[in-house]
Amino acid sequence: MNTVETAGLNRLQAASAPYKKPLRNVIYPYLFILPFSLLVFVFFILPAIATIAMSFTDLNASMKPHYIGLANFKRIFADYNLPEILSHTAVFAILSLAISLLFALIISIATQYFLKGKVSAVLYRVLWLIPSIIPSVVYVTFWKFLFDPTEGGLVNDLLHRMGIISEPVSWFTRGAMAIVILATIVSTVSGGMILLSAAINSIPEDLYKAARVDGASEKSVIMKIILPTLKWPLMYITISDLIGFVSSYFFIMLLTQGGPMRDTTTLSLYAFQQAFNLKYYGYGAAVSLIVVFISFILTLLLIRLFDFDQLIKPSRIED
Amino acid sequence: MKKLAGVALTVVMGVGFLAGCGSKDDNDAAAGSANRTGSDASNKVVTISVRENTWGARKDNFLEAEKRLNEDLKADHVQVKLDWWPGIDDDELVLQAQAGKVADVFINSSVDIGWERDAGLIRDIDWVKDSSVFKNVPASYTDIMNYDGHYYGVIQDMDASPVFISRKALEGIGWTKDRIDGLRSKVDSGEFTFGDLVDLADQAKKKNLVKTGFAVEDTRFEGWNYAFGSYNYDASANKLILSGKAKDVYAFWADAKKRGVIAEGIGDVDTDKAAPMFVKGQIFAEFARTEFYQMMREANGMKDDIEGYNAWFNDNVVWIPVPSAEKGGKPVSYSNPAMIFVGSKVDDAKMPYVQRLIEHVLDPDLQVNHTIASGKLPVTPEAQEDPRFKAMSFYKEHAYLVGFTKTRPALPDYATFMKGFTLGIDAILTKGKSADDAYGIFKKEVKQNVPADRVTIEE
Repeated sequence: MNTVETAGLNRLQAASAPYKKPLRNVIYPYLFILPFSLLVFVFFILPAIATIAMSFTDLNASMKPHYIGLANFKRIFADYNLPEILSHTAVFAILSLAISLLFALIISIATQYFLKGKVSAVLYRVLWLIPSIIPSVVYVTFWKFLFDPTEGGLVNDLLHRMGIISEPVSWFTRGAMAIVILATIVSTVSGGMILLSAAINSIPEDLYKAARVDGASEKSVIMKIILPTLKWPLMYITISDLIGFVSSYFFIMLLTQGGPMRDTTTLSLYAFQQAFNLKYYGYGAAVSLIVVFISFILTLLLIRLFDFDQLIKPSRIED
Repeated sequence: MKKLAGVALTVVMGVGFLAGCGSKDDNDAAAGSANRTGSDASNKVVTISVRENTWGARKDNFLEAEKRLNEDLKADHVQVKLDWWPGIDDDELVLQAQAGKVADVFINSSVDIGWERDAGLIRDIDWVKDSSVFKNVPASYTDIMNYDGHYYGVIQDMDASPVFISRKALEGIGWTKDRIDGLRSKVDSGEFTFGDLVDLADQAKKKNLVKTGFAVEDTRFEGWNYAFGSYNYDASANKLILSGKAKDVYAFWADAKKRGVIAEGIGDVDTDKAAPMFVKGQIFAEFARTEFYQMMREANGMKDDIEGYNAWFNDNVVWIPVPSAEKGGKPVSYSNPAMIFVGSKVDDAKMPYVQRLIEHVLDPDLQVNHTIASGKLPVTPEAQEDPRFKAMSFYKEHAYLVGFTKTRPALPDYATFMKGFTLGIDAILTKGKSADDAYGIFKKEVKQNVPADRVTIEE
């Protein structure tokens, strides 16, 4: 084999060998991911591992943990408060989710379809955004002022002026859960509203026109064009809000501290109270793991319900 | 673009590393300084780390105490330097302690002794027993500072919890001025009982003289427990006690609710709301700490008009200790005093300086400075002799209450115990349950949630 032939063979072998990216290019994406991976590891994964480990100990204020196996979990299921707390969690999460979703849907259809492009629609959406941008503590103070049990409370004052009540009503002892749900809904509607409005906005105007040409009623437009478009945003909002509501305790803690009695104590608030008010960190961690487990199961169920597989299937065009 | 991204990434990571290193250095420096006793050319320097607490004159008093101590130490060629650490909540206190960061001196509530000791945050300070500062304080004070056979804290300040009663309402019921003015002595002698007070509130409500019978600061219901002799704590065994006397307390709650003396939302009407209501004559009796006196002044719009306010106060308010439920019984006052704690890392070499610093913080004039700034009562009899304190008639008259003031037990499980007790009260107020039902709930909660070795349940 002469030199020319050898060189040709080498070129051929080089051409047939799989292309290897330069090392620099291979490392590049990982370098971008690295700082955030570190953050995730330090602030999410490590605390999660610590919480799991803590749940198998009797860690309390003395900060001297002893391994106690499944004792905390056994205690949870023997806790006579558990059925009541679980039912409060369910009532709070389901009602908050259903009503806020319905409100978000109605507002977004009203402002993005019926009043599309009008200033009033924009103003209305901005109004609904205000509760979510107010700091939580200020927002809760407003609700406390609204339902203050004294004559100084806004609702009591109004009802008294209208002659409906003669004595101030202690709203937080009569309807604490309703107030908590209402406050939660008002502050969370805007998130769903924005996503749904954006989804409605993405529907081509031609579709509406074609439907109208075909004689479709407004109801048909909503049911046959808008709602099917909202399936995936609705799934996202449902899952994220539900997880948020199941694990939510902040509003409740600030508004009612879980009272009166345990009427507004949800499972996550119970976990918080056990860990941080009563300093039973081990038991609180175990209860919080139950919250995580419930959220996980609910997420799986909802993904199944919304037929999530459809969303992640490649589109037919790619086939 | 790639270059730009590369540079940005390097900057982010670099800053991150530097920040991490920086904070570690800071921590080490802070931790190191806490325990450092060094010396310069002429003086030995002792650095004492103190967690900042600016309420009232607390911080100012530490700064002044530092000066005074350094004057004392001049001859010994020692200089004490305070290293101020930021004030933090209990949760962070625990976490920082886990990281080995415990300040030499910090202030917290007397109820925190138990868990702070168990968590290794504080150390015993048995020098309190022989300290000249505390040689004249009443036994109730030493009880508060003592836990499980040792001294663990130094009372920083004190308050009393009187009952503020509407003078106008009493007049409306038909009481004469002399009778109203003599009420306190009748409470002191045990002639006037808690039941009598409930009856008066009931009358005032029925005559529409007031809108609310009783209001209470926060949810400090313990004062009412103590009035019924339900003390919840056995210091000798260092255990909580669930006694049958709690039933008597619940019976009072149920009766008072039924008669309308107590409103179902009593826990929601804290002193910030109660002060303007009291000023308007809407509340018959407010169970609150002495600070309520200041709050009413502000609610009255008389923040700077002390003379005018005192005149208003004398015309409209009469205060008494919480009366005993039993005829002839002793009245009650309760408090949650702040305590100065000494961190577990303070060694025996450093302790004398820490001791002398704390003793200076409790110099009589500094205590009164704090009283003026905060409305809290001074701790020692010497401070109560200060002319400035004597001129503060309202506080001066309260000084005798601290002799029989009770505090919450310092046991770590007390919060759980009280949660159970409060659930019983909630059941009466919001669910219309009976005293027996409430007691049942209390017992069930305690049995389930308070470790069995920490509580004695009397059957």
